[in-house]
Amino acid sequence: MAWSTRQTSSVWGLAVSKETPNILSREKVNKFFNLIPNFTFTAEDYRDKVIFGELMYLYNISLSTGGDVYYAEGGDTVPTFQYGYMRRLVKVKEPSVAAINFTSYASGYYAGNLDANETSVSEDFAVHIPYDVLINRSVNPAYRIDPPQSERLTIDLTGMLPYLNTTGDIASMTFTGMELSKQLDDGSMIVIPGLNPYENDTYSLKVDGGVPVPAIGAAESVDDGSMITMELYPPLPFSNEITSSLDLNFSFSYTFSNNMTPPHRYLSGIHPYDYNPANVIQPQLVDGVMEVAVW
Amino acid sequence: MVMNDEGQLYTIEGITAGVIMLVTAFTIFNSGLIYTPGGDAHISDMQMQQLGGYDALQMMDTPEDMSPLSASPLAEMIQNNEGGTEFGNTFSSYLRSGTGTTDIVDSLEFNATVYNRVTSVGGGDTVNSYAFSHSTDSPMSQLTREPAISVTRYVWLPDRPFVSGYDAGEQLVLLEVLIWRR
Repeated sequence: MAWSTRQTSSVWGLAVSKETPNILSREKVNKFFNLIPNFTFTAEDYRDKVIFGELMYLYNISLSTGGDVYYAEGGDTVPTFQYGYMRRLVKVKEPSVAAINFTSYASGYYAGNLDANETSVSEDFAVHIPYDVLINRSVNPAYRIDPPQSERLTIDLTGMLPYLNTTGDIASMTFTGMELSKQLDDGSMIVIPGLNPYENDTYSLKVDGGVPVPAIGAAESVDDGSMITMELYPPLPFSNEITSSLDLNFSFSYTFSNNMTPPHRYLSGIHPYDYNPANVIQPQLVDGVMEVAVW
Repeated sequence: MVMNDEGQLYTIEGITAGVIMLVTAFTIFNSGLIYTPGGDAHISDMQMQQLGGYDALQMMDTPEDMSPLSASPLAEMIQNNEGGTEFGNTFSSYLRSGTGTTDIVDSLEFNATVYNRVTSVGGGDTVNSYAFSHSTDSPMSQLTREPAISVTRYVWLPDRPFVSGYDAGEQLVLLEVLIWRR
């Protein structure tokens, strides 16, 4: 019994930071319980890296949080008696999400105007990730948005067409891809090259939750119910340079029917990814319990 | 000069001693350390202390949001004197929560007390304490109870609770919870 007391006392390095031992990082939990693609923990790995010991221990490791229960790969059914056991209460830190539903903004907030005589335009909408704001030591690590170390950032765009097409003048709207650019200290931007592979270790870009689309050369038609989801996986590009910042530019092209209504509207503006709950759904701590049995 | 093999013996002895020392060091550094605080603490008591004292109180004492002076749910329970309702329900549910892989014997009872310091005008501060919370069956199970373990946690309160015998303003109080098996 004492055996597993010692082993779990550090909760196996799944914690968000040293100051918050009982708060687990969602990213680390996903890896530990094989919940993400391209990364697998085998029974052998658990024995070598987690349980130690020279004997071939059998084990059962489980984590229950937010209505789900995860089991470690290769675990066996717990016998009725004679096993070492530990139960720890934890909180799982669910990462932040910038859920941008355009229809909840005032009509001019994220829209630019195009002369009524024009019939097509290509414009960008940007999400600005200021590392110097996010990496703020005065924010409790339990609630810190921590892209460089352990957390993904998620951006959901919804309600694009309903927001713009109030007069029915948009004939078609197409998502034509996106680029990441780094803002230098002098304010100039450089585009980060090499975004062609997709759903990789750096990011995943999906339209309507379907198959991932490449960031460069996308051509996805946008309709009333479209949702664009961009996930950036840690460590984020250049996030070790804490004075820099990252801009995600979502490009759209529009064609307008020339019905002479006053100005056409397109998405424009910069949405900040910061600690303002109006901009970003902040990280949340969800209760959980972890049980470890070894025999 | 008389030749003998004493030197050889000493060498063999030295090497043997070295090997023994190395084996000892190797054994020590490769063994698992079992940490048992105190002489007579049982391991199940340690688990109870970890689960109830450390984990459950820590869960409840996690700040509510990201602002630097965010009070924890535990602080609010003490401030609003919700020991019987909020604290009792939350603490009980933490004690019996599990993932379902093992059978949990739901037999833990608890009794919680709050200690706070009261300044006296003429000097000579006093420590005030009051019963804060207890589990539903704790009064009747107290007579037959197993030895209890005690866990404590200092809780920061942003303001004084709605209870008599408190100084004004923010303060630290000590929450003590006794936990035992029925």
